[in-house]
Amino acid sequence: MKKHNNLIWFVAATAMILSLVVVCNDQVYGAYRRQHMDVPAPALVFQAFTETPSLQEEDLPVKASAAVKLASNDTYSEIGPGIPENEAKIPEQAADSTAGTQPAQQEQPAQQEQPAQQGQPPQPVQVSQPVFVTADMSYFDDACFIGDSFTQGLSIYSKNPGADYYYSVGVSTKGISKASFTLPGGGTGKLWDVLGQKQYKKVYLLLGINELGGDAPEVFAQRYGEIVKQIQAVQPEATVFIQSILHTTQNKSASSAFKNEIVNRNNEALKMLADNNKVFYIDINPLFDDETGALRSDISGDGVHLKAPCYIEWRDYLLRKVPAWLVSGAGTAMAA
Amino acid sequence: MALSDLKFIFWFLPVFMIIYVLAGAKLKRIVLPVSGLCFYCFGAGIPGLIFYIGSALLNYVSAILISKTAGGIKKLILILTLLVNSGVLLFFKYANLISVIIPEGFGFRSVLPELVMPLGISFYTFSFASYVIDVYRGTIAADRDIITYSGYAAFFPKLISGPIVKYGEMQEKLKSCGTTRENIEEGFCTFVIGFGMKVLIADSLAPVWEHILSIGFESISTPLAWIGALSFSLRLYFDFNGYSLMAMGIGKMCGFDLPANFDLPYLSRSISEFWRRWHITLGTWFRDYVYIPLGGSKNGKLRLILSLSAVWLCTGIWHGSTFNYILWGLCLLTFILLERFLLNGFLEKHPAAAHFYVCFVIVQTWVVFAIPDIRDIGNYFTRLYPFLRKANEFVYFQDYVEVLKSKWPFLAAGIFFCLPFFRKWYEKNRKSPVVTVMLFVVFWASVYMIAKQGSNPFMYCSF
Repeated sequence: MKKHNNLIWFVAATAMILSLVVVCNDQVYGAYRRQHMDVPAPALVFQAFTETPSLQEEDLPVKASAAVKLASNDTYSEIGPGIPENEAKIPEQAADSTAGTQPAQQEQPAQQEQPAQQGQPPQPVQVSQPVFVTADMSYFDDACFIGDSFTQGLSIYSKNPGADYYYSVGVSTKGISKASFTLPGGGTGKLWDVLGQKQYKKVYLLLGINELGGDAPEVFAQRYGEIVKQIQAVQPEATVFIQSILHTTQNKSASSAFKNEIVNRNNEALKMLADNNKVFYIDINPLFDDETGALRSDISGDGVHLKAPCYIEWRDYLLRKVPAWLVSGAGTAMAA
Repeated sequence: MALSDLKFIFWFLPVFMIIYVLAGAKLKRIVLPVSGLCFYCFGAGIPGLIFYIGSALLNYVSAILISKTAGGIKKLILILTLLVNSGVLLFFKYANLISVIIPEGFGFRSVLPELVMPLGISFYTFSFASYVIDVYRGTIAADRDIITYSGYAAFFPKLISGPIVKYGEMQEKLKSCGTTRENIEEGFCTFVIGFGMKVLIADSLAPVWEHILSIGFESISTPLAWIGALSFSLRLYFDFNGYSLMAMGIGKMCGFDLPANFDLPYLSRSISEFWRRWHITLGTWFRDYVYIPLGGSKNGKLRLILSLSAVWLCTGIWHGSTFNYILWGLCLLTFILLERFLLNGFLEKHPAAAHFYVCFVIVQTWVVFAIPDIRDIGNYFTRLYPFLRKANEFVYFQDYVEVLKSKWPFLAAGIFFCLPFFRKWYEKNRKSPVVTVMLFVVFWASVYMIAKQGSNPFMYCSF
């Protein structure tokens, strides 16, 4: 009698068992199932298991309520974004790798009108105008960069060994607590376990490309804001620089989920987190955009990431966006 | 919808198999085309479906007309049909090139929203052309029965990405559709092997090339360049072979013996042999409908060169619409001619050198295949051979270390499954419990991988 390879029956039986598990456990899977109607039940178990959880209270080093208050304000949004975009664009063929060893130049940004808030009368709020100077490479000696694959790119290609880099390819604001980060000096670990071990004066943050289109911009910005608070809790002397999410090329934006409309909406929400005192928002996009407001296609091989030479330009751009007091050594903009 | 989509595996396939098995013989013949049209519609939408049905009907009618006429008119109908078939195919391949910038990344996918190449058109057009030509030659009789013809035309496993099946290969079983428990079990095992190849090996190697793309070809180290070329070569093989095995497996479950598309190609001892073991149904198509009609090898050296040139030019064009595909075809033509006239004696006497030669050359031809921009191909080769041009200041010479650390198991597995050991062992032990357990794990590991990161669409889908 021929033996039978009964694989298909075992697979079918397992699939049915998994489906039953999903259907009979509505409290656990119900909401997830309704959100993901196009995923078959047997796979739903796996997918739900591998989804990164939201930022959990227990994962944070300090409970949010006890977090250090921002120097000037412990609510976001009223003070508008103050970083002007009157920077000249880097010409296409520039191989600008000179470090910024220039005498400090004062940059007076153009006066900005306070935009009226939606549904509220314009508020006469004191907008602190940031004054930017250009620093030299030693500025990065007490700086660190935290983020995703773009931060990995900075760590490898920006020729900036003075700074420290904490990156996790593919990380999002949702998964940042559980993700495995590559740490300065090699090795991996959880971000909140290690971030307090060395004190920085400047923390550059870049997240967002891995979570376009999941949540509303305000929800994303709120999670981001929690992360900023957590960073400040373990880095009380640091100024946090929120870097804009980078645009994707026209082709990528049109043909994939990495859409520039969503990038722009999320960046607008991130701008609200800046207070121009301890938290700044820096728009990187003018450096790499084409005339349509998408990433230039000649500097991206895959439509999302930047080719190696761009990271030098990025580093130098950041050196021109330095709040004056961080170079002069004074306390804060509002120090007595 | 592709064969590796979870929706196909857990919804479409079980429903189809249950209906197919329970249906009587007559009903089975109808279930085949209906399921095929549904499957195609899920993937291509209504416009694609209408286009496809039009093409199928055109060839159906044309074959009947051919069988009813003779002489000049018969030939005229054939020529007109082939002109329409090839005209439409060429139009879709080249219209996109004219009206949009060359897409970045792979260059396979067309990004133009208004003019999308109909899903599977390269495969089904060749399939229908083979049918019409075979009727003209008298190899087969035209199928008057639209139901059995539709069963052939719309057989969903082969519909979108091949294998390119000749009518004669399905003819008998189409008339008397049926399957056995043995077929279902054996077919499903083949399906799972293909599924695992595609998801566990190919999809795991795909990020290597993406990573290299994102750095920019000018800024990678030489080791990374070679690892990238190797990864791409393995990924392409396991992606396409995996998909072909999935198609064959489902074909077997339905009682059909679809032709194999791959036969351990990386074991070849010449490039000519490689292309008899890689994408076999395409090679066979070109041999039977282009190479031999043009004279092949039996009509002197000049005819040989002409026939081979025609085949390889067409092969390049068939694979894509950017110039690098034509360059790729020409590269392969050069090696094949070299072998014909110079190298074959040496290769036969020195198998070790032959194996190395094939792998060494083929891996580099895939680099030409992979990169749409000719200058970028040049950049890549200066990284493969760093003495050609000094590295730019941005190269990070340790960049391959991270990649190797995370991908070495998949590279090793890829190389292992290119060798004959697994296949020999599998053939002997197909029904043993060890195989059952192994394939069970492979199946659910693949489902888990897909659930974790979303399906990686089959690379050949836009052909």
